[in-house]
Amino acid sequence: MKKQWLKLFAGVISFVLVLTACGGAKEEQKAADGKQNEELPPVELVWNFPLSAIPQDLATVQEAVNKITKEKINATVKLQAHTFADYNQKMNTIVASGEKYDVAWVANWNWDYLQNQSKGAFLELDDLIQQNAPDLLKSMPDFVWDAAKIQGKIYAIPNYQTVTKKEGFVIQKRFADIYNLDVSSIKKFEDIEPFLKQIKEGESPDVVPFLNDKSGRFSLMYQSQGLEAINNVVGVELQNPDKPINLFETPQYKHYLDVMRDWYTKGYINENAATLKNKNDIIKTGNAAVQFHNVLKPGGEVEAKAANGGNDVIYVPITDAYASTGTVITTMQSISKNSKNPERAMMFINLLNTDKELYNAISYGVEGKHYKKVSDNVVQINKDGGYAPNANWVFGNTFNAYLVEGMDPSVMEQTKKENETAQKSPLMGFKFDNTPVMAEIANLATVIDEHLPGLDTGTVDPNTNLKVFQDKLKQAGIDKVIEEMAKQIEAWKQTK
Amino acid sequence: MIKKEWRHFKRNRELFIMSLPAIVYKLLLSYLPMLGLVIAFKQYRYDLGVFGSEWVGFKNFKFFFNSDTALIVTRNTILYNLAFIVLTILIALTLAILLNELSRKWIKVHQTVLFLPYFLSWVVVGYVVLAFLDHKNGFLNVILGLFGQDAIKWYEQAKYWPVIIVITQLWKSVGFSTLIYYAGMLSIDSSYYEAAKIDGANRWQMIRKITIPTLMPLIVILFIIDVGKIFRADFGLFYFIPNDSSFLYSTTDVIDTYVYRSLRVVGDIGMSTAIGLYQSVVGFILVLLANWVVKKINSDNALW
Amino acid sequence: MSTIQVTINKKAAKSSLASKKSSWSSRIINLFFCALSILLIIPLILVISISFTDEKTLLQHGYHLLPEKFSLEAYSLIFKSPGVLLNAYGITILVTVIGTVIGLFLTSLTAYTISRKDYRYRKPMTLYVFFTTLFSGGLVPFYIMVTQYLHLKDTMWALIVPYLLSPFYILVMKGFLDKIPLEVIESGKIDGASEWRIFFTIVLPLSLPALVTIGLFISFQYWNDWWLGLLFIDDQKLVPLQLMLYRVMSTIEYLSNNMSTVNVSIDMTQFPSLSARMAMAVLAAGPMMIVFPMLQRFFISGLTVGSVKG
Repeated sequence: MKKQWLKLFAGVISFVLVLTACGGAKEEQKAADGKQNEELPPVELVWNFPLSAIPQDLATVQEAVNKITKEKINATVKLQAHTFADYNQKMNTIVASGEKYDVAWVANWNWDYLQNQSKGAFLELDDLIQQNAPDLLKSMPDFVWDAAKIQGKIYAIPNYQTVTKKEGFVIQKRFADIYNLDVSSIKKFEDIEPFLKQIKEGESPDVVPFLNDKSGRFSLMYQSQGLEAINNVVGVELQNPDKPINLFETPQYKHYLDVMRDWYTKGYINENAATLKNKNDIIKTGNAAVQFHNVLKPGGEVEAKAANGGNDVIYVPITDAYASTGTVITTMQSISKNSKNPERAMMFINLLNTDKELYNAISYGVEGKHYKKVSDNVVQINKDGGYAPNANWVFGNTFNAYLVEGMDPSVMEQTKKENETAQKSPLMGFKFDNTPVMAEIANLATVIDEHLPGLDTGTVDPNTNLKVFQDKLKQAGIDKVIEEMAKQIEAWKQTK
Repeated sequence: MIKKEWRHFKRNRELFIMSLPAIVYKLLLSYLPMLGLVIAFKQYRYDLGVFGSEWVGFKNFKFFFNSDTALIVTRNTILYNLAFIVLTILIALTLAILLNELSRKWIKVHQTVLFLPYFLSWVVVGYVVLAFLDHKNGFLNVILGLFGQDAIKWYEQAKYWPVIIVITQLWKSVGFSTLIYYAGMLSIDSSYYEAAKIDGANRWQMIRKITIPTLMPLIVILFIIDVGKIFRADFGLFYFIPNDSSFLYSTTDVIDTYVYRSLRVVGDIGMSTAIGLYQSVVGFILVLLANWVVKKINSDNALW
Repeated sequence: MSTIQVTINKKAAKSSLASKKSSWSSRIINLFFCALSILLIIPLILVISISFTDEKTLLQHGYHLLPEKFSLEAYSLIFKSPGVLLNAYGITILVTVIGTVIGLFLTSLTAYTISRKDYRYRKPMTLYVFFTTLFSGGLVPFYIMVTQYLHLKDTMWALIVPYLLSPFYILVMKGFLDKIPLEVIESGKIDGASEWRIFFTIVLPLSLPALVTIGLFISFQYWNDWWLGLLFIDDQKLVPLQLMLYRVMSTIEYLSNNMSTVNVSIDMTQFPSLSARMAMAVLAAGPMMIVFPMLQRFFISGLTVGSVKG
C-alpha cells in the first residue's frame, strides 16, 4: 500500500513539474548562433499549417519536400496539416501544453497572431532573419514588414500575396447585360439601387437582387466610407487616424443602416439574411445577382465564376487598392518559442519564400502524380491525385508559384503592381494588444452577436434599434476600449 | 486505531484491488489534470507555464459576472435542465413501463426506433430542424399554409424556442433513458410479480408497488448526476439547433454558448477555465444538497 | 458454486409484468408506439432523402421527404476514393470493439465494488468516482497528461483510453448491480470462492441485460466520437469515421462564417454539397443502426435469478 502512495505521490510531483515547465524553454535559442558556415547537423522540423481539407497523399509530398530540404539545409520537415476549422483549437492546445513544434502558420483571421504573441507563443525573429535569411527581407516591400511588426519586432514572416483590398460589387454578368448596367455610373454603394429595382421587377423571385448575410456588409465597406477598423468595434476616420472611435456610432453606419432598411423593405435583400450563415448555398445557384465584396483582386472574376455555379460575373470596384495591417497579416509563418532549432526553422521559411522548387512542391505536389506541366511555367492539376490543396498562399511567396492552366498570366504582374501602388494605411503596423481590456472585448463580442445581424441586414428598424445597440455597447465598456486604444496608438507613434 | 483500520483493510483487500484500476485511472486522467484549475486564477502565458503565470485573483471571472446577460443565460440554463430532468424521467419511465407490456417482437422494433435519433450528431439534427422550420420551404410553414395561416419566421421569434428546444432534446435522448429503465426492469425478479398477482394486485398497483420502488435507486442516480450538470448545457443542442440566430438569444442562449461566443475573439484559457470552475462548484453544491435530501427520505438510495 | 442456480428463462422474464394475453390494452400501447415511431423516424427519412437528392433542386426548393430529383452523386463522390473511407471504418470498428470490451470490464468491475453494501470503502469510492463528473481540469492539462505522460498521441490508444471509465456508466451500472441480493454473494463466499471468482461466475452472468445496456452505451460513445481523434490524431491512417464527417461539417461552418472579409482565396466549390454531407451522416450512423437491433435479443431474453439454495 505504502508503495502505491509513494508512486502516486511521485506521479503528482512530476506532473506538477511539467505543468510548471510547459512552454518554458527559453535558453536553447542562443546555443546555435554563429554556426552558419559550419556543417549543419541533421534535424527534424515540425510545421503546422491549415488547409480546407487534409490531403490524402501528404506523405508523398512530405518526401518530395524533404529531399529538397535535406540537400539544402540538412533538415527534414514533418508536415502537420490541419483543417481551417480545427486549426485554432488545435494550435491553442499545442501551444498551451508546451508541445514541441518549430514552424506554424498564423494569421489575423485564424489562430490570431496578436493574441498568441501577447501570450508568448512566438520567437522574435529579427536577428534570425538577419543571420539566416537576408534575401527574405528584399523579397517583399517594406510596408509588408512594417505590418508584421508588433511593438517594433517581427514575430512572423508574411506569405507574400495580394496584400490589398478593393471594395465593390460582384454582379452576375447576364443581368448586367439584360439591363444594360452602366458600370461607370456606380461610385458609391447606394448607386446600385436602380439596378436592384430592375432585377426585383424583372426576374423570378428565386433571384436575390442584393445578397446579404448575418455578418452584414458594413464591415466590408469601411474603406469606401472613409473608415478603417482596428478591431470589430473600434476604428478610425481616415481623415483623423489618431483618434479611435466607435464604428457603430459613426454617421456612415447610420446611413448604411437606413439604406439597408430601405432595400430590405423593398424586397431587394434576401429575407433570411439576418439568419443566413452560409451564403455560398445561394451563390452556388447563380441567383445572387449583386454581392458586395471587399477583395476585388486581379483575376478574381475567374475564381468567382466557379463559385457562382459557372455563371460569369463582373467586378465593379468603387475604391482603389488599399493596404493596411489587416490586409497584410492574413497569412504568415511563425516560429515557436519552444523550437529547438530556430535558425534551421528560419532557413526553412526562407526556402519556402525564395526557393521555387520547394515552394511548388508544397503547393502542387509531385510532378506526374499530382500535376503535370503544360509548359515551362504552367501546370495542370490532377484533381484525383490525392494532393490538390489549392491554397498557395498558406505556404509562402505566391509569386514563385507556377501558373495553373487557365489562369491569366498577367494576373501576377497586376497583383504585384497593385500591392506596390496601393494606398497605404496611416496606421500601418499598429497592433492593438487587448490584454488590458479582455473582459470588455468579451462582452462587446456578445453584444455585437446579438444586435448586428438584425440591423446590418435591414431586418429590424434602425430608428428604434440602433440606439439600443449603442447603449449596450456603452454598457459593455466600449469607452474603456477606445481609451486604451488611444493610449496605445499614442505610444506606437512615439516608437515610429 | 491504525491497527484496527489495517484489519478492516485486510478484510476488504480483494475488493479494494478490484477498484484499484479505477482509482489509478481516475487519478491519472481526472484528478491530476484538475491541478490545471489554477489557470482560472491566472493570466496564463504560454512561455511562463501554468505555475509561472501571474496570479490575477478573480479577474478571469469578471467578464461573465459583469454583464447583465449572465443572469439571463444562467436562468435559461437552469430552466432548460430542470425541464429536461423532469420530462425525461417521466417520459422515459412511462415508455419503459409501456414497452414492458408488449410482446417480444414489437419491443425490438420500437426500442430500435426510439434509439435511432441518438445516432445523429447535433449538426445533422440542426439541418433536420431547419427542414421543418425554414421560412420559405419548411414543412411547418407549408402545413400552416394549408390551413390558411401565415408563415412564421421561426428563426426570428424567440418565444417558440423553449418548446422547440425541449422537443428536440427529448426526441434525441429519451430513447437512451428509456433503455436504461427498461434494462433495469428486466432484472426485477419475476417472482415478485407472481406473488403480487396471487394477492390480487392489478397492473397499476404492481407498477406502483414493485416496478417503481425497485427502479428508484436507478432513478436517483440518474437524477443526481443530472443535478450536478444543471449549470452546464449541451453546447451542440443550443448552438446548432437555433442555428446561432441572433434573434433567439433571449430564450436559447445558455452559459456554454454565451461563454463560447464571448471568448471567440479573445480566446483566453484562463477565462474559459474560470467559468468551467464556477459551473463545477455550483453543481457540486447542488449535488451535495440533492444527496442530502435523498438521504433524508430514504438513506438506502443516497449515493454516499 | 452449485448452490446458485441461474436460470436463463425467457418465459419468466417475459412474464415480468403481464403474462401477455394480447389484450386490447396491449394493442393500444402498440398503436401508440407505432405512432411515436413514425414521429421519431420522419427526421431520419429526411436525412436519407436529402442524401439522395440532386444538389441544385435542394438549394432551390428545400428539403422533401422523398427526393424531388433522385441523384446518387453524393454517394458516388464519397466512394470515388473508397480507401480512405474504408480505412476510417476499420479504425472506428477496431476502436469500438477494443474499447467496449475493456471499458465494459473495467466499468462493471468498478461498479460492482461500489454496489457491494459490505465494502468498507464504498462511499468514499462512490464520491471519488462521482466527483469527476463535476470537476475537470479542462482541456490543456488533460492533453498534457495524455500526450506527454501516457505518450498516446498518434496511437490508437488515444482513441480508447480516455473513455474507458466514464463515471456516468459506472454509476448506472452500480444502479443495476444494486439489485443483486447480498445473500447470493454471501453464499458464494461460504463456498470459499474468491471475490474475483464471485464476480466472474455469479455477478456477471446475473447482470447480462445490464452489461448489454452499458456495453451498448460504451460502444456508441466510441462509435460517435470525433473529439479524441481531433485532439490526438495527426496520422491520417488513424482517423476515425466520425472525425472525417466532423471535419467536413466544421470546415464548411467555419469558412462560411469567417471568410467574408479576408483577402485569401479559398475555393468553396470544392466542398461537399449538402447532399454529400447528409450522405456522410448516413454512412457514419448506418452500421450502428444495424448492429443495435442485432444485440437486442439479449434484452428480450432476460435473466432471472433462480432459487438460492443453501
